[in-house]
Amino acid sequence: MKGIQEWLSFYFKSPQTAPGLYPEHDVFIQLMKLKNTLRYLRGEDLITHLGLEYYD
Amino acid sequence: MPVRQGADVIEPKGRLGVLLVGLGAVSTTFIAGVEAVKKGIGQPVGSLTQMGTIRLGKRTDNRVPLIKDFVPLAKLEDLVFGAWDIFEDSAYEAAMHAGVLEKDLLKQLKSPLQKIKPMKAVFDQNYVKRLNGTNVKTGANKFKLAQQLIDEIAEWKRKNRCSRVVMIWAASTEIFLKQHPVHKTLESFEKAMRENHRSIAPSMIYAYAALKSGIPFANGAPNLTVDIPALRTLAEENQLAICGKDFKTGQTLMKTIIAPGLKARMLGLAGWYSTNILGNRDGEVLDDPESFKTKEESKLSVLEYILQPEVYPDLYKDFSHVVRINYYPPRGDNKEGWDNIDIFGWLGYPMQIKIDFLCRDSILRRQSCLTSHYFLIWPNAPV
Repeated sequence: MKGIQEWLSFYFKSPQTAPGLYPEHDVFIQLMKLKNTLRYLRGEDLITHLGLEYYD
Repeated sequence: MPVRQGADVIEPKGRLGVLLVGLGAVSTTFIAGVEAVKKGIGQPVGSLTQMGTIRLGKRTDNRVPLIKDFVPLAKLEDLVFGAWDIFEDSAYEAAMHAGVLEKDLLKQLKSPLQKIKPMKAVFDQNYVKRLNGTNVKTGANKFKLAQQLIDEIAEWKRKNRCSRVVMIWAASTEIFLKQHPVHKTLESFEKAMRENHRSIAPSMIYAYAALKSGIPFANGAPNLTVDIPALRTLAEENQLAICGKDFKTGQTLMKTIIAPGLKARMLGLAGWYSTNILGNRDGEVLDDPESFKTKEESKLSVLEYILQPEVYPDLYKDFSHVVRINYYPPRGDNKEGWDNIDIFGWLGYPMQIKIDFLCRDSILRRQSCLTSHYFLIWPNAPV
């Protein structure tokens, strides 16, 4: 990891982002982003909440 | 923020140094909390890494480990704390003075807290008008002060036998600064430090020293600090993580919980009036209009970005958003935040929501300190 860690926006009132990118303030999106980043880093499937597989 | 999928995460080994800029209510509550949890006399409530879980795979897989078991994080026992402050009080004295935690609890933690004595701070009253202290470094210019910090960090790391270190800004809100041409490149930034340029705030000197020392940096205040090209470049060049700004805790946390709900149900907003009373040092600093301006900028942007008035003009165009912070000494750290939310629903009929949040400023902030610094140092994965 290097530079701005936008996935840690969850903890901040005024999240730092790449220049030109608006910050995501919605705490629920921030949490999803944080957990998906952890899954990504650990090589786990990302969770999209689509859930079609349960109804095949 | 390049992160690599399935990165080979380095297992945390050895002691993790946590260097805190500011040893006031937030930092001492954070340190005392960790010590209390270590002793088994407190629970890390509100800490995502310590109490949160993460679902893996399908809902039917039943794989829901604790985050701290899913990702390799340092144990609380391996944390070592250090700090700078403009006052000489140890963490124990500062915590007693802050009055956030009960004295009986602090007395049980006296031994580890008393050992943490603040190093002399880089401080300039021009940037925080309402504070003044004597435990302050002197140097010919801002570059020399940064060099003093770099030397101090190296010595502190060696003495405390830390294998890695993070730095968190937990000090006051500085006056409002806009990005200036001297912030553009590392060269112009260093030249400005040598020339004692006004656009180099003390928080930037700490951040520069951290990044030069190979240490990630988290900005817990709304100060500009690492949100400038020069320090972003330095972080990337040195493969270091940075994040900020301004720990989200009380009233703004509530806003980022409530506003997405209103938007999700397509309820309109005519106005949101927020006012606070608080009597801690944070409140005193924010009583200065120049520091409040920095805070206000941080607080005001939240609703605009969540509600997206340009996408939903019928619901959110021109809503009135007012934020007030009032310094009221009798309340101490026990902040009270009131929100009056004027919403409208079907056919534009108006409704109101009132929130009265009796919160504890430093308790809420401490939770952010614990988790954010953990993720900053983890994973030490190559990009």
